[in-house]
Amino acid sequence: MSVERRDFQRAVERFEPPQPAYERLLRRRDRKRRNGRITGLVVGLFLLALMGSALVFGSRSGSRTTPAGPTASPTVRPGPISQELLPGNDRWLKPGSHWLSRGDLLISFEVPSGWRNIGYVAVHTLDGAQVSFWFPDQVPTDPCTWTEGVRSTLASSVDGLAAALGAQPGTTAPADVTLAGYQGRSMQLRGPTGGSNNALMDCDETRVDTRMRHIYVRWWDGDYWFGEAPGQMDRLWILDVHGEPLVVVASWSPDTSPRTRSQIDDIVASIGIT
Amino acid sequence: MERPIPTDHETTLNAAASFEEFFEDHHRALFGALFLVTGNRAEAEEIMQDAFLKVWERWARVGVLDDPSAYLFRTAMNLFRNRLRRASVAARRTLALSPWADDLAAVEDRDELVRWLRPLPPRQRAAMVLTIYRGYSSEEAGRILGIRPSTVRALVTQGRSGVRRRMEGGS
Repeated sequence: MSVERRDFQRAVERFEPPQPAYERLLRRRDRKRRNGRITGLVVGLFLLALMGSALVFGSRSGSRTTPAGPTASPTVRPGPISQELLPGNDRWLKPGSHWLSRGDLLISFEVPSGWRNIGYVAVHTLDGAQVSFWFPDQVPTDPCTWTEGVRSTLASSVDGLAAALGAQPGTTAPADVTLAGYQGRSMQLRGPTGGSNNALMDCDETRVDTRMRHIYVRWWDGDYWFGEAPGQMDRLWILDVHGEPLVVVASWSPDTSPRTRSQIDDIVASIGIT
Repeated sequence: MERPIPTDHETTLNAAASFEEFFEDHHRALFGALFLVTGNRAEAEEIMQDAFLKVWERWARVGVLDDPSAYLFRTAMNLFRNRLRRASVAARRTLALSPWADDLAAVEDRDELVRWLRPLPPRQRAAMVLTIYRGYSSEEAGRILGIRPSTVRALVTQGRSGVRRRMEGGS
């Protein structure tokens, strides 16, 4: 008994790509072009800054050839340019100002040392902290059965998304909030606890590295999924950004240190949206 | 009757229309194959899109090939190989809070082959898809995956025996 081409043919035909597939391809092409332009802009600005500082130093060193007297002006040191667009791949981030591109938005924030990025959606630490930015298109009606679960389409407005998430277990009541100058709703989510009394045991599984884990998934966004591991805590800011709900999520786990928790607050407080 | 010479704009439109037809004809098969290999809808779609975008950039040359779909599959599998290499270098624990789902689990009950393939490592699945489904030789599949032909044959043999064990075990 052997597996043959027709078996593969039959299996392959069972998988339907997300629709509308061609429009999604065009959107990805546009996103890549825009990211390319932004990268070009960043490189251009960096080069301009280098040229500017070279000119400043050049003129200073030129002026040193003339007698300056005892009250010469103080030395100007160009500061390091640490502002960077988060790349698609994951890596350690330099402390300082970073920004990412979501849709037509540029989102900036300050990160301390010890943080990495997850693609273009999130920054995180190895002790379970994460700050992430999402445009979820749908949320599952039942976060426990998300692989085949019926998905709500309520994510198209701030109130709709807040109501959909607010109806799920472990969520606090939404409250009015303003972040980075944008108004919206804030709430807290809590993933069911794990351990021996694992309330997620009946939930759908996902693969993290080679391990299978039960996960509480609440939404999808392009290439990434937002899911809750056992015991994970999330504070959400669902902001009305030009009519679309941008979701900022600060996440932490029971393993997250108090120092990292404090860093999460600092990152959220530094968020700017343009 | 002479055919009118197309303007540059018309030529671009024709090329786009032709590429769109190519996309319509092949995206399901490519997505399905990538889904079998990666086990993940989002990853399969992303690789599929990147492969089509690469083909589109070279459409003037690829569109006139005898079998542009072979180029498409080769490009897609190259992208998969690159991702697999990056993934093995980077600690995937970074995805603990936004995990990639093993979506094969969602459909495995509906297809026996999917159920038997799912536990296999991605490299074995890729080798099987290339050689059995796409009909590539071990040499061609080896070039695409960046491994030796003998490794391809070993992966396919291991994959086949893994599937056979599960078939006979009824699991």
